[in-house]
Amino acid sequence: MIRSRLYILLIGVFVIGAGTLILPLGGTATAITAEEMLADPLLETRARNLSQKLRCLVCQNQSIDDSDADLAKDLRREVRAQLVQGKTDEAILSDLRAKYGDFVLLAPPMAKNTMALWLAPIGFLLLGIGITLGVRRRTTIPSPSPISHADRAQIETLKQNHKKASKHDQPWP
Amino acid sequence: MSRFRPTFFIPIIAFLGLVIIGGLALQGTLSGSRNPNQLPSVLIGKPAPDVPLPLLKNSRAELALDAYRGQPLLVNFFASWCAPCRAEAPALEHLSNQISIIGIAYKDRPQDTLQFLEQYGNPFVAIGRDDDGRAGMAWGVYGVPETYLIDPSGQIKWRHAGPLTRDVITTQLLAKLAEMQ
Amino acid sequence: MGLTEFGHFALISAFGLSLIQSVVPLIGTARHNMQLMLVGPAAAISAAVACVIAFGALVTSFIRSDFSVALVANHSHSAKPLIYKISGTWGNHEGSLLLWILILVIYGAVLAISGRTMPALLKARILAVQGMITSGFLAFSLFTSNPFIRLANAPIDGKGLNPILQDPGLAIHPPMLYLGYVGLSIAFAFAVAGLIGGDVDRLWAKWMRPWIMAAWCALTLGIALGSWWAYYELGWGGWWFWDPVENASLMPWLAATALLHSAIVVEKRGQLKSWTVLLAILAFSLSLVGTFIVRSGLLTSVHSFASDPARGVFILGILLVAVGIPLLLYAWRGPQLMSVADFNLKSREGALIANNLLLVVATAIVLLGTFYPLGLEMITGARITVGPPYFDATFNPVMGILVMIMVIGPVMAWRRGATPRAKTTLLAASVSAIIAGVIGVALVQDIAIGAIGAVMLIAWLAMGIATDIWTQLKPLQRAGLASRWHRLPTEVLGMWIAHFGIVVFLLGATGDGLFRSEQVVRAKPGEVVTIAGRDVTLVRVFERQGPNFQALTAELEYKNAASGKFIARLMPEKRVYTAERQTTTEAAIRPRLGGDDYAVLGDGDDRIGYSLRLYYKPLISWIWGGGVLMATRGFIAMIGRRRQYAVTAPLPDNVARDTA
Repeated sequence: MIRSRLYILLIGVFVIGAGTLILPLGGTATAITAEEMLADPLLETRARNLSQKLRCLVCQNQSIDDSDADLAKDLRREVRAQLVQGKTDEAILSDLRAKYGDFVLLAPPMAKNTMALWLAPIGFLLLGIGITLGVRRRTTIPSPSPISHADRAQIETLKQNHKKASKHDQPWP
Repeated sequence: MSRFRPTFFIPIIAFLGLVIIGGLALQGTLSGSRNPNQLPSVLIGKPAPDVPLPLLKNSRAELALDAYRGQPLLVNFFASWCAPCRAEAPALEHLSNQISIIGIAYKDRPQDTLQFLEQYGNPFVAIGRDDDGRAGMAWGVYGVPETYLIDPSGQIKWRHAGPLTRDVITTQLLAKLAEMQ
Repeated sequence: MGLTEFGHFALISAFGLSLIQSVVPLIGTARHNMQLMLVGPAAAISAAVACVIAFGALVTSFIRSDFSVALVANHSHSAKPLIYKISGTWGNHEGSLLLWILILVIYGAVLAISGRTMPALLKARILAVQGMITSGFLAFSLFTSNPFIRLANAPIDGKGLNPILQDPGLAIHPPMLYLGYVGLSIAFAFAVAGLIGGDVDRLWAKWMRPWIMAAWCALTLGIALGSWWAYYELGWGGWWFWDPVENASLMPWLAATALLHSAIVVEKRGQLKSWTVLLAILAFSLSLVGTFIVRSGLLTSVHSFASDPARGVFILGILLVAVGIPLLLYAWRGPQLMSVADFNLKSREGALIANNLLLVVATAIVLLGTFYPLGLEMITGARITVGPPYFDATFNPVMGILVMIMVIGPVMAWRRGATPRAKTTLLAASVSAIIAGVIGVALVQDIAIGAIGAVMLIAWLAMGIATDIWTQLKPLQRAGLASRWHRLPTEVLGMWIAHFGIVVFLLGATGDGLFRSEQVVRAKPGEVVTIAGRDVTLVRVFERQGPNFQALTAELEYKNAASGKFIARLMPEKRVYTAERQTTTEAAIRPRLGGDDYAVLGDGDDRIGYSLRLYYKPLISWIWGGGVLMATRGFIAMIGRRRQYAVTAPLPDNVARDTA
């Protein structure tokens, strides 16, 4: 049926739509200078991505990629130095986390004390749906009982009579 | 007609939670126990980082913290270009009578550091150089001045970011020192 | 000068008048005494006049550079251009608070004057609630943040204004934003009045809607202005930073959007009353929370005024009373507002419930993300950061789902089921989404999954709106095109424009976010850099003297790489402001519909070269264009209401009413 195909189509678009926009859309410029950039473009891309995940500790809410501060420059250099050494992204982030604490990460890590933060969005959604449905159940008019055969026969008769009577009427505008 | 629905209380409860957090935070800021600019160090309770640093006066020799094991130690990151460092110099001078202080010149030029020490006094038993700031990173330094208290076994017990004021020394540092005795 | 004292006195009288406005009309409603109830409008109008005088006095002090007034001495300077002297009035805590109060009382006065046919009881209660809010803020101003304090020894010149704040965008951004924040107080007053009197019904919603619309439009424009200003003034190239104060403006906006939609359902169908009341309370509460964030110094932000925790305590107090009591009232009286639900979930009501839900969840996410670090610090002492990556991962998907629903909702019928045109619309939208996704994958190498999703969403929404327009206009084909539009209710037109504004916004956000070009180089004068099909030559770097700054300016010549044709000359610079001893980076921007050229000058000299950062940002101005388009909805609404009144105006008894 076209209907169920439509639903599948819809659900498909839904899923992709929901998973979307985990992109950074805030858009920013960068504070790096040409000399800082690594020769290897793959490493440099990784460096930029990592820099955007690390907080400039002496700034207000900027990443080290965006900030002109000296400490940000030092940290950018450190990230690149470690990348050149061959470390993985996770290793670099953990290393800085071990030195500066969770504060240096712009996205809080999944830990016991941040579990609530990460689970909350889904939790809110489920809670909201639950409350809405629950409240509705208690305030909806109960659906009427199914029509009995006698009533159904009466409806049919009425319909026939109406058809005969309105055959000569003008259609509705 | 009064219906009682618990779900309608969710907004007020959430709001009160917010107010309590805000209130506690305000109270903390007012009483001074909370300073949004002070970052707690994650190295507290861990051994002091073992980063090799050249000495200021002899760049071929290295600063060795283990030489100072067995006694409490202060490690102070400073620089000649740092204004609050000048402000805390007298306090450090005073402290140097009670406890050994090691200085680390952070991202500074040796001649400037020496001039600074001449002008403001030298309370340090040894001075290392961290020219590019990498050693500071190992300690979690994010600005100068910063002071670390190390216990006789080599563990970091306390860190203060910013200049050492009399208040900080009497309320925090001396208390920590007493604990070590 | 006596003017300042006069202004001070006016402010105190306004305080007294607001107190009267808070109490007397309520007594009037309790005793059904019309005289007492009429005190409300009188007090509101008088308070407004008093505040205009007070504000006028303050602005005059700034214009005259009267440095005997402490505020002027701390925040102004005689060398400042006139317009920035004026806007300097609200470039600080005390002055902006006075502006907030001014807008608050003016809204109250407008409500008092208009709404002549509003039920007297409702109006009296609304004005009383308004009066209470005004009194609270006036108390805050007079007792902790008095703008009229004099200095015993006036300095010769002032300490100047932050150079970053000397900008036309800044002149308009706070007033516009406040028009939004404060406008929500009227909706809030409606909600509280409704809870007190129990008279939340379709008429109540009908009266409330224009106020919500006005506040929402102003807030949309205010946020768009702020974002645009940050982009072109701060030199960071970004337009949204998930900064706590930005979040503080986003949260009321989300709640107000939900409120806007929810009120429609109350007016048309008498449903979702308790939702609407809650949203109205929430929207203004979030405005107040925003005030708290900005002025209490608890959260560090580039926007914070000079922080003073003692003031924070006062605001917390206002917050507790102004929000706590209505929420308690809601908890107690809210359930009585619930009407029996006579609709299926698969209906337009259902879609609007989903809309409410998603926007509230989104608001909750932003609220949680903003306050979680503080909460965690209070409980465990640990310090964490909740930054853009968190919000991108949680907020954006919720918005994505909302965009999906924006196509489904309008094609659903009231009460149950889908309208006949639903199938066409949804099919068209899905197909375009898939085609867009395929094109995206084919055209762009290494396209991210999220990017595909974003492109599909935009196509879904755009086609959904277009098909909706087409299916609605087609049946009216008998008449010519012009009268087709006239036959549609302005509400539907407005909805299309507002939703289309979101399409435009999304195009801008993804255009820049995903397809931007960047070049970071060190160049010596004479060297050429290529970016996005342009050859950029660094012609020279020179120093220049501005009115109150010294600048290092680079001259960049942009030519079309293929044809060599001259495109433009951009002059980014770094400025040092002499009075304030501050350095700012002035990015050079060439805004065009298709995209912006953006250039930033770093440090360097002729010998080693200058650090240059060049960008090409496709479609970025569509972000703010989308915002303006959304706000246009408001003007359409105003035109529409007048038409509606014209059609339904009561006819004299001897004229038969045409049923057309």
